Amino acid sequence: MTADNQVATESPVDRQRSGDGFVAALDERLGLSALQYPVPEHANTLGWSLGGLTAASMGVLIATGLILTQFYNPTPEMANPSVRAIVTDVPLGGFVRGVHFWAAQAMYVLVILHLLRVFLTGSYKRPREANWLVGVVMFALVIGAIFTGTVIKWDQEGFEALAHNLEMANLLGGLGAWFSADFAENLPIIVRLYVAHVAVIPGLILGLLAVHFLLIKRHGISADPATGATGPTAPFTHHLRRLAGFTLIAVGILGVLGVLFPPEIGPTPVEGIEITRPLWMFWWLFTLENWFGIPAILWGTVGLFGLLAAVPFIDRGGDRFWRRRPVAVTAAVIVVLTVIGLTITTMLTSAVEHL
Amino acid sequence: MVAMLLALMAGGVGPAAAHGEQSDEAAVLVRQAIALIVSSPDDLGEIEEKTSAALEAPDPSGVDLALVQQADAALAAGEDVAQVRVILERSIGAGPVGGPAEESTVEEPEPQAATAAEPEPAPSAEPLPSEAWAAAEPESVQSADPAPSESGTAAVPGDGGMDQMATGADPGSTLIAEPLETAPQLDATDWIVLAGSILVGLIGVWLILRYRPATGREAT
Repeated sequence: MTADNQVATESPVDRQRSGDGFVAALDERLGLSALQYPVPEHANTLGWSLGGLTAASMGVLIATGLILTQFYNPTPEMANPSVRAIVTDVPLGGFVRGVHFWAAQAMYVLVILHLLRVFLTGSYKRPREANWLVGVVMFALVIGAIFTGTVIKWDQEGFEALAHNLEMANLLGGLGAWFSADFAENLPIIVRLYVAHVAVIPGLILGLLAVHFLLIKRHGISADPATGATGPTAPFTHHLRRLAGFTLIAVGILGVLGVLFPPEIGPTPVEGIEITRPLWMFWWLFTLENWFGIPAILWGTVGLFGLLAAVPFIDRGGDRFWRRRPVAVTAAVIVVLTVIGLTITTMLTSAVEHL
Repeated sequence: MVAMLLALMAGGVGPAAAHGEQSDEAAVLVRQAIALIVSSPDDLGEIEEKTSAALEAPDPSGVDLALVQQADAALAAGEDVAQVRVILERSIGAGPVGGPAEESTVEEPEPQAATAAEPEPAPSAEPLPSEAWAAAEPESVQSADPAPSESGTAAVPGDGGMDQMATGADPGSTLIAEPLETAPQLDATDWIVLAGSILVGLIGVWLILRYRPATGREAT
């Protein structure tokens, strides 16, 4: 008798006895119990859930973005009016846009906090170097998503961001061809940026996220850096339900922000002037540009991401506990303080003083 | 990476063209002046610089320079920038009355306009162009028909039909809309959404407390 025949001859009562009803039936078909594999219990703390929270933010962005795309018109003539219409005419449109806006900021902050946690716990060290690099690329893509999202609302702020992008494309020559308006001169560049925002960048992030998760599964969650021991373990499903709790808190906060602090929409754009400041996450680059000109934006970006990519190849010692890595931690503190200092400098500078 | 760095080095250091180069199109300069009025109405020097540059621009096409002259004089006389804006918008055919496309409707500047003693009065009873813009049908912005729309917004010269739609990095619109203030005036729906959000957050708090790690240890 084959296994199939055995299943076919089981009565419903037998099946119910052999498991826990509906959950067991689902498990039989989907293999959910495979998620019960053990992970270190410290993975259930907030610090070790930041990556999962980042992924949850991505989920919120996709959900709200799907709604926004139903009403957004990615043409130069209608982009800004359609965003206004989303806010003024679409039921709960302003709320959805507000949540999308704040979720993007949350994702940016959570990515940084996650990177800092991984750095401080030395979780990028052998054999996890590749996963660190995947994370750094995803960080760059998140910034790309925020940038394109800023541009496609097509107000003065977004248009000025685009102008900087075009300048950098010119500096890069052939390497910047895709970012140039001349790449497809019969098409408005906003259309290509819109496609990048809703398809290319999220697609790349999701693909890399799958690789990221697979590598975490492959190498396991890193041990407690203070002791180097894995310590007590808990099923991964416990991590998921804890993460669900953190996610609901985040969603609640995003909802409150979306209602109470909806993002504004700037005036329709005019070329050739600079009267706005970019989003706060780009302020450190704004300061560099004020001091050294447009090329400094690229220098700064390439420098920061070059440093991030080099981390696992520079800091290769065996110790993962931050107190036993004074050089690496001091270097990181200097970089972080520099970025914060440059950001505050722009905060204290009016847009009119720019260059 | 090396190629990027070389490209950067070749680019050198200095202000970007986007920041420093003045357009040679009067229409662009007028729109810049309007944008400055919308965004920084107190910066009269910058606004006046743009109107003056528009008057001397090598390419005056699509602009009624007489109206720009009138606006420039009004600025110099310290007139209300809202009125200056209306005149400038009319000069490029973006105002409620129409511009070069409707020459007959545009008053010639009177001699005293040069001294700005009596600039073109702004029709305060009429909606501001931004309001008219907000109410305008998309076709009124894109149509090749120069007649004003029902909302009073004139067609934009050069913004034609499908074959003339913006390409590349063209901003695509001549009208400058005011920023849309989104400060919440909470209605019943907002309160419900707010309460729902708080409830979701509280459920999250309950979950993380309910399922907190047995050791209660935080990450190092």
